Amino acid sequence: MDRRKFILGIAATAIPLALPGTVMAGFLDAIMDPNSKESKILSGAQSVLASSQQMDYQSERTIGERLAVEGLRRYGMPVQNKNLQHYVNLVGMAVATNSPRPNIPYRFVVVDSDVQNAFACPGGIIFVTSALLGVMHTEAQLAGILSHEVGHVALRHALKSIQRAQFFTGVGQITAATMKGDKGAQFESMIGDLQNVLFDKGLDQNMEYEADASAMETAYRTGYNPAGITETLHALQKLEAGSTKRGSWFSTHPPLPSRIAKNQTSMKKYPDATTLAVLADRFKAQSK
Amino acid sequence: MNKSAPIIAAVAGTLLLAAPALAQEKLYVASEGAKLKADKSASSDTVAELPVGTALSVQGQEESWYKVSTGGKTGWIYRGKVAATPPEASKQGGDNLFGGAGSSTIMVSEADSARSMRGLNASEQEAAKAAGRPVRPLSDYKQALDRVLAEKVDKKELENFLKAGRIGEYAK
Repeated sequence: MDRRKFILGIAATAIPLALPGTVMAGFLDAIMDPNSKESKILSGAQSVLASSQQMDYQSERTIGERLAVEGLRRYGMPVQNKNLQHYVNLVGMAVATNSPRPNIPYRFVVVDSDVQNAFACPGGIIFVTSALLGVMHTEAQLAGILSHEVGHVALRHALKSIQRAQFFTGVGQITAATMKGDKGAQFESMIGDLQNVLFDKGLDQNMEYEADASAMETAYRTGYNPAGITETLHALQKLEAGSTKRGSWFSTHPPLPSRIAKNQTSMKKYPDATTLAVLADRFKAQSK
Repeated sequence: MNKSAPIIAAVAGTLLLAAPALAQEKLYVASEGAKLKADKSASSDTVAELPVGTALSVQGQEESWYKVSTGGKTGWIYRGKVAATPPEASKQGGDNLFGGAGSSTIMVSEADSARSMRGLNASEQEAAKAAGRPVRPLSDYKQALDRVLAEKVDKKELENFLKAGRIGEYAK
């Protein structure tokens, strides 16, 4: 089935639910007029949807940079330690080379925050908080978390989330009938949706499972023990009872036990995992 | 019984047996910076540098290395650099893992709309209040982001980093 038709189908069923009858009638009139505000907003939402598969890298990166600023604001500024930042970039680039999307310039940054989290902005700017780094003990664990975030970028998870959500946001704005249909506002609305996904709500649970599987594969291909991601999740699980901070890993990622269980099952694919690089000493020396 | 039936069955049987072997005879380069080596060791000579997507004919496998040939050259490639299916075509326009990320375009996008600028300032005020710190000017974030983007890793350095950690093809 044509993807756009499918989405329009959903929209057709959703609009009557979202709007009272009288507004609905006005909305239908307005949408028949190609120059109406409603029609323009709707076509804007469609173009975001239609472009979902093929957004060019520069647009993706622009969105990512805007979100990176918000990430710095919400979580903290980069840790002032050149050696640490460079080390994290080396581990990140090592795994990115073998990721499902090895051809974009990734950047990795440790930000000063007491909330354990990591997140990826579209286009490849990847954040790890100092608190999350603090629960890790090996380079393979860091490689696992960075591979997971690279996986989100490679699989375009954030953009896919809002391409689904964007349309419904658009409908909501028509209900309010206050929004000016200018480009800047549409961009801000999209950024708002992405902020909600990345910093508050979290990505879809299945995307997290998918990024975990991708992380293990990427770490393994690079030559790190793919158990690193799961070890870090274990460390977080120990902390979970005591930490429910807003914006933390716990509020933006699915329950840890189910992820750990899935990952442990996947480890069967890597029978020689324990022979691969772990590098506890290098991590200890470099992450100070 | 139809005379051709056993032949068809035999052919079908052969195909079933042959299919898995055939499926493994072709592999594709899936990592950036993959090298075809003269021997199954990262320290052996580099025969060729292979771009992502290069099709490889597999002749054998020993330890973590495949013996492959491509474009008239034969050599060894580390298992982590290949995949059974060709990678997604690079339609996204990013074409350089080791490239510069430039400086941010953040001011450009914000200059597009006075509305977005107001939104940024409002959210900075909220964030500063929540964190109990003074409000930062927008330029602080722009500079911080530019420093993040300026952080660069080159190919040679990454290779030395993997070598020092004995990671992947550099494992002993």
